[in-house]
Amino acid sequence: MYGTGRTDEQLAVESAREDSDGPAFRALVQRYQEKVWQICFRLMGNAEDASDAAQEVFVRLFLHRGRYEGKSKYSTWVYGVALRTCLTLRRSRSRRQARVKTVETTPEMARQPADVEQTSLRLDLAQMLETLSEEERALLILKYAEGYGYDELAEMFGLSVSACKMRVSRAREKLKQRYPKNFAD
Amino acid sequence: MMQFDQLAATEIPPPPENLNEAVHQRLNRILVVLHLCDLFLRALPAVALMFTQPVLAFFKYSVTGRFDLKIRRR
Repeated sequence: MYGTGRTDEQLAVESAREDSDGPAFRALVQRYQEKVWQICFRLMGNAEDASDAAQEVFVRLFLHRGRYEGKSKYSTWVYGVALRTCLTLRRSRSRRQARVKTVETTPEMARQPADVEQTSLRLDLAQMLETLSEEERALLILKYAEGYGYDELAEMFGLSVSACKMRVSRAREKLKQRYPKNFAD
Repeated sequence: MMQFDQLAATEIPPPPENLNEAVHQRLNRILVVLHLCDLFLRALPAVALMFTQPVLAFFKYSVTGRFDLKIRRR
């Protein structure tokens, strides 16, 4: 297989010199396919959207391949692109859904979100995360589901490590306040 | 009671078998569009400009009978 023995960073430099999706870029796609899919599936929540997001991630990686400056590990840069792509797709999806809901919502349905405490026991963790902002949700998922360290998260989100720790802690607190019955201290 | 670590327990299916192929198909579609944009916005105007100059010079010569022989020396 092409690229055996070469580091990701070396392949990234090579792929930046390629005019089309040449062997170096294909090798990178092969290497990161699994991990990018994992991040996309966790953040998008279903296979169909995850597949669309993963394709979009690799397209963006190709189009922006010249922007990798080598300041961070290539893998962190790839995960950052995957994260931003998923956040963009989720935002556009929720805007679309919001437009549809505005048309469909009845007064009775509109009262339901305020009644969070009563319904909290029926919600599972994934549904609870949906009540957070997109960034907070992504932070918690990448921290606890994917096990990224704060330094990696900070690079992916473009934040400082301390800001990252604070946001994770705030997001946790928000969930604990909203669903006190579901979380142990 | 829930713990945030439970998030890791979510089962992730393997990536679709055709993911690689789908990526390259999508990429090829985008590259075709980008190349067409390049062709229509940059290459064709440049070619048109290049050919317009001799055609204009030809008409000028036909009408005035004079031909500018400006040789640029570098």
